[in-house]
Amino acid sequence: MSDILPPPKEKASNKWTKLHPQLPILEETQTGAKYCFVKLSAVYHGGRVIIEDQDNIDTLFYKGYFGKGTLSRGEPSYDKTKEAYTSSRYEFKEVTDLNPYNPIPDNGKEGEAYGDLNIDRIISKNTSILSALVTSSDKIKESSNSYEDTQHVDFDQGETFFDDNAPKVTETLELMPEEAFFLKYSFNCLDVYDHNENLSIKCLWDLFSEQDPRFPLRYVAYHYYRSKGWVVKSGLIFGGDFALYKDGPPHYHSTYIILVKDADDQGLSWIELSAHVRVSETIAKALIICEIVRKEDRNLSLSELRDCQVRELFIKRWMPSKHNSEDSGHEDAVR
Amino acid sequence: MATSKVFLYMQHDTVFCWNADDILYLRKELRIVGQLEGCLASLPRQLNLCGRPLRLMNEEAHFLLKNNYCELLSCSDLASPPTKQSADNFKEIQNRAFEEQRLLVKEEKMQQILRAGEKILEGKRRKLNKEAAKSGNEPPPLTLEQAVDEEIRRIPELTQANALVQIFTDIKLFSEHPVLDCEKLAPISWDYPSSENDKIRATVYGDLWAKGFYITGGEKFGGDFLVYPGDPVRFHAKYIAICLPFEGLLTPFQIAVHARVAVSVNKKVLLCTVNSDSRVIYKYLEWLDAKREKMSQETIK
Repeated sequence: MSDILPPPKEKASNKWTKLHPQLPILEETQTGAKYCFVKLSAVYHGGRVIIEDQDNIDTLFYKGYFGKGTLSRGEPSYDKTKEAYTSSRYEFKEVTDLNPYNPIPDNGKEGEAYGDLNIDRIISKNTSILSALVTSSDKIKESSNSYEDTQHVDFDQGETFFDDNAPKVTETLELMPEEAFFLKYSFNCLDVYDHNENLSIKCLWDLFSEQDPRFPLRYVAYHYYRSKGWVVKSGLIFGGDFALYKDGPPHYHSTYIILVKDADDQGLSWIELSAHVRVSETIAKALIICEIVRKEDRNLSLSELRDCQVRELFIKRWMPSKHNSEDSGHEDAVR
Repeated sequence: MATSKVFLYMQHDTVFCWNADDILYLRKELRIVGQLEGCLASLPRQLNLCGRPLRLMNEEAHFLLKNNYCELLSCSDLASPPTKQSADNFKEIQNRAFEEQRLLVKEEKMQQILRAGEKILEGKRRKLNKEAAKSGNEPPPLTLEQAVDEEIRRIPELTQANALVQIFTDIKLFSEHPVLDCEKLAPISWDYPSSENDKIRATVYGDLWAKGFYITGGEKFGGDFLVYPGDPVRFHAKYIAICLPFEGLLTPFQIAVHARVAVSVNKKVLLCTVNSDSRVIYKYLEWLDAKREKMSQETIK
């Protein structure tokens, strides 16, 4: 019975969190057409799609849970908490003397060099979210330091001094390339501007594909699951491509972790796969490998999106000890 | 032990060690742990506790052979199913063993009865007296020989189901019983490592061993090796070693997944690579918790 897909688990906060009507939003226009979708605008800057307008941020996040607040863990909550989420992050440190007698201390200060493994280049190229965490938090650290230095609260006197010249820290919303493209391509309710130029669908596709070679594959999976009604968010924290939520993160726990793979590709080595399975077991989520079957052999292009097929594989660890009790009758017969 | 050379056997592209003394020597003196994979005769039908043979990782075997601690043999006969002659020979050995056991068991039982002859006589006499008292007759006479003979006749025969079966774990015995052709047992050469990944793994293994660690396979935790500061029976693994090519790409997904596994099992991720000068470089992944960092900064203030 435990071999079937686990159902979504409701969060306790679901009872009081409002589920707004989801994007796209229809509104009447002045032109002849009766309805069209509300247009939101984003800026393409340094490889990331940023929403700056506060109303747009609210619309996009609360009506579909698109994007991630740049100063927060998920929901753009900087205005409420006034505390920038200065990322938990992974750092690479060189080991100076590896030996059995002195283990590497926890949170030790051994070396800061990234050096030989060339990790920085890889991180900033293959993900927008992870690099955004690091870069945005660095920026915020600088500016917020000065902000806090100039602000002090004296409770005894009940007086507060503020320095109006300190730079104001505002939070923006960052969209995954898949999210931005989905809003533009499927609903045409998002305009992405690059230096005041409204990028066309083809332009966006080329731009994102160049930035991340896996973008076309990932987009097929994103589009597929969104169309089915799942809220699809980045699964990087879980080591996967996407994480699926029913209704949204405040309502339900993420149920599935999606790993996107090309059907022709050999895929993960079994050792890596076992790492993924282990992680998903630890966090009680189901692992699904999404295989994209393409028609043509070359790189996936925009026109071929429709011809793709999606194959899903539910991966679960089978333990013989757990099934022994079911087989006990059989064992007696053998004896 | 240290005087005679340790033999390793190659079967189905895997290297095994069958001799119990050798296995202990490898572990105690050479820090080679391996993995026991065979069925334990005293505890069959379970996988928690296994017996010989000891399966060696490719890297372990390569290390031993490169440094001349062991010799690699293979029996080409084992690659194909046994011939009728071999099967008949083997059955004959089993039958002979069973016969010997049967006679031995009977002999042992007889000796037991003879030794306890007096007690048996007493017990039988008591029983006869009791029956006589009930029926009112005289109890029949009984001698020691009669009592003992009666018991001997009642000894059950040893059945196949209760017989001991010998499992051959050391191939040296086969030189006496010609089931396998001992001529076919010969040293072989092994083409390992061949691929780039294998070369990196083998180099990293050698370097970690030279530093004094105990190393086993890391498949359980999604890595290449598990690195222990001491014998695995006494210590927990400290690091999950992951071998990477020097010029390769490391995706954020790999970072996230490996680091997550390590954090959940209280180990550190050790990223290992070999540069162009054949020097092994190690880096480890540190998870910096924002909350803890903040707290520690505040305490410093």
